[in-house]
Amino acid sequence: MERDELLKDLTILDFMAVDLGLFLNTHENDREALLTYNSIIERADRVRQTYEKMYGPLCSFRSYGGDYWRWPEEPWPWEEEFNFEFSGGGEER
Amino acid sequence: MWIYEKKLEYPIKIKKTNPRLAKVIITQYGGR
Repeated sequence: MERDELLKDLTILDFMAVDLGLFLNTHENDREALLTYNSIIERADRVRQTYEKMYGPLCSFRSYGGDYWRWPEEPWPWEEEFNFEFSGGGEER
Repeated sequence: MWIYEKKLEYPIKIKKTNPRLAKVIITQYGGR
Protein backbone atom coordinates (compact mmCIF):
# COMPACT_ATOMS: atom_id res chain seq x y z
CA MET A 1 0.00 0.00 0.00
CA GLU A 2 1.21 3.48 -0.85
CA ARG A 3 1.99 6.02 1.87
CA ASP A 4 -0.84 8.25 0.64
CA GLU A 5 -3.45 5.52 0.97
CA LEU A 6 -2.24 4.45 4.41
CA LEU A 7 -2.21 8.06 5.61
CA LYS A 8 -5.72 8.60 4.29
CA ASP A 9 -7.07 5.46 5.98
CA LEU A 10 -5.39 6.42 9.24
CA THR A 11 -6.68 10.01 9.04
CA ILE A 12 -10.22 8.71 8.55
CA LEU A 13 -9.98 6.23 11.43
CA ASP A 14 -8.33 8.69 13.83
CA PHE A 15 -10.92 11.33 13.03
CA MET A 16 -13.70 8.85 13.82
CA ALA A 17 -11.95 7.98 17.08
CA VAL A 18 -11.72 11.65 18.10
CA ASP A 19 -15.37 12.22 17.28
CA LEU A 20 -16.62 9.07 19.01
CA GLY A 21 -14.47 9.92 22.02
CA LEU A 22 -16.13 13.32 22.30
CA PHE A 23 -19.56 11.71 21.91
CA LEU A 24 -18.81 9.18 24.64
CA ASN A 25 -17.87 11.97 27.05
CA THR A 26 -21.54 12.93 27.11
CA HIS A 27 -22.97 9.42 26.44
CA GLU A 28 -21.00 7.18 28.77
CA ASN A 29 -23.57 4.38 28.73
CA ASP A 30 -23.98 4.15 24.99
CA ARG A 31 -22.88 0.55 24.45
CA GLU A 32 -23.01 0.71 20.67
CA ALA A 33 -20.85 3.84 20.51
CA LEU A 34 -18.34 2.25 22.89
CA LEU A 35 -18.08 -0.92 20.80
CA THR A 36 -17.67 1.12 17.63
CA TYR A 37 -15.04 3.26 19.36
CA ASN A 38 -13.07 0.18 20.42
CA SER A 39 -13.17 -1.36 16.97
CA ILE A 40 -12.05 1.91 15.36
CA ILE A 41 -9.12 2.16 17.77
CA GLU A 42 -8.14 -1.41 16.93
CA ARG A 43 -8.25 -0.76 13.19
CA ALA A 44 -6.37 2.53 13.56
CA ASP A 45 -3.68 0.77 15.59
CA ARG A 46 -3.15 -1.76 12.82
CA VAL A 47 -2.92 0.89 10.10
CA ARG A 48 -0.59 3.00 12.28
CA GLN A 49 1.71 0.01 12.81
CA THR A 50 1.88 -0.71 9.09
CA TYR A 51 2.51 2.96 8.29
CA GLU A 52 5.24 3.34 10.89
CA LYS A 53 7.02 0.16 9.80
CA MET A 54 7.22 1.44 6.24
CA TYR A 55 7.51 5.20 6.60
CA GLY A 56 8.89 5.87 10.05
CA PRO A 57 7.46 7.09 13.35
CA LEU A 58 4.32 9.21 13.48
CA CYS A 59 4.76 10.43 17.02
CA SER A 60 7.63 12.24 18.67
CA PHE A 61 7.14 9.95 21.64
CA ARG A 62 6.16 6.27 22.11
CA SER A 63 6.61 5.35 18.46
CA TYR A 64 9.03 2.49 17.76
CA GLY A 65 12.47 3.54 16.58
CA GLY A 66 12.86 0.85 13.90
CA ASP A 67 16.27 0.00 12.45
CA TYR A 68 17.46 3.57 12.29
CA TRP A 69 16.21 6.96 13.54
CA ARG A 70 13.77 8.35 11.01
CA TRP A 71 11.91 11.01 13.00
CA PRO A 72 13.68 14.01 11.40
CA GLU A 73 13.01 12.69 7.89
CA GLU A 74 10.95 14.73 5.49
CA PRO A 75 8.24 15.27 4.46
CA TRP A 76 6.51 17.13 7.28
CA PRO A 77 2.75 17.69 7.47
CA TRP A 78 3.01 21.29 6.30
CA GLU A 79 4.73 20.20 3.10
CA GLU A 80 2.52 19.52 0.14
CA GLU A 81 3.97 16.12 -0.72
CA PHE A 82 3.20 14.86 2.76
CA ASN A 83 -0.54 15.08 2.34
CA PHE A 84 -2.76 12.87 0.27
CA GLU A 85 -4.84 14.20 -2.58
CA PHE A 86 -8.48 14.89 -1.96
CA SER A 87 -10.59 12.83 -4.30
CA GLY A 88 -12.30 15.02 -6.83
CA GLY A 89 -9.93 17.89 -6.22
CA GLY A 90 -7.96 18.77 -9.30
CA GLU A 91 -8.35 22.47 -9.03
CA GLU A 92 -5.44 24.67 -10.00
CA ARG A 93 -3.97 27.05 -7.47
CA MET B 1 2.18 15.75 28.12
CA TRP B 2 2.30 17.45 24.77
CA ILE B 3 3.25 15.07 21.94
CA TYR B 4 3.94 15.97 18.35
CA GLU B 5 2.04 13.84 15.86
CA LYS B 6 3.41 13.86 12.34
CA LYS B 7 0.05 14.06 10.61
CA LEU B 8 -3.04 16.24 10.45
CA GLU B 9 -6.31 15.50 12.21
CA TYR B 10 -8.17 16.66 9.15
CA PRO B 11 -6.71 17.15 5.68
CA ILE B 12 -6.47 20.63 4.24
CA LYS B 13 -6.29 21.79 0.69
CA ILE B 14 -5.11 25.30 0.08
CA LYS B 15 -7.07 26.60 -2.89
CA LYS B 16 -6.18 30.26 -2.61
CA THR B 17 -3.31 31.97 -0.81
CA ASN B 18 -3.82 35.27 1.00
CA PRO B 19 -0.60 36.64 2.51
CA ARG B 20 -2.34 39.70 4.00
CA LEU B 21 -4.85 37.58 5.93
CA ALA B 22 -2.07 35.15 6.87
CA LYS B 23 -0.14 38.04 8.41
CA VAL B 24 -3.10 39.09 10.53
CA ILE B 25 -3.68 35.53 11.73
CA ILE B 26 -0.04 34.89 12.62
CA THR B 27 0.11 38.05 14.76
CA GLN B 28 -2.88 36.72 16.71
CA TYR B 29 -0.92 33.52 17.39
CA GLY B 30 1.84 35.57 18.93
CA GLY B 31 4.10 35.98 15.94
CA ARG B 32 4.98 39.28 14.33
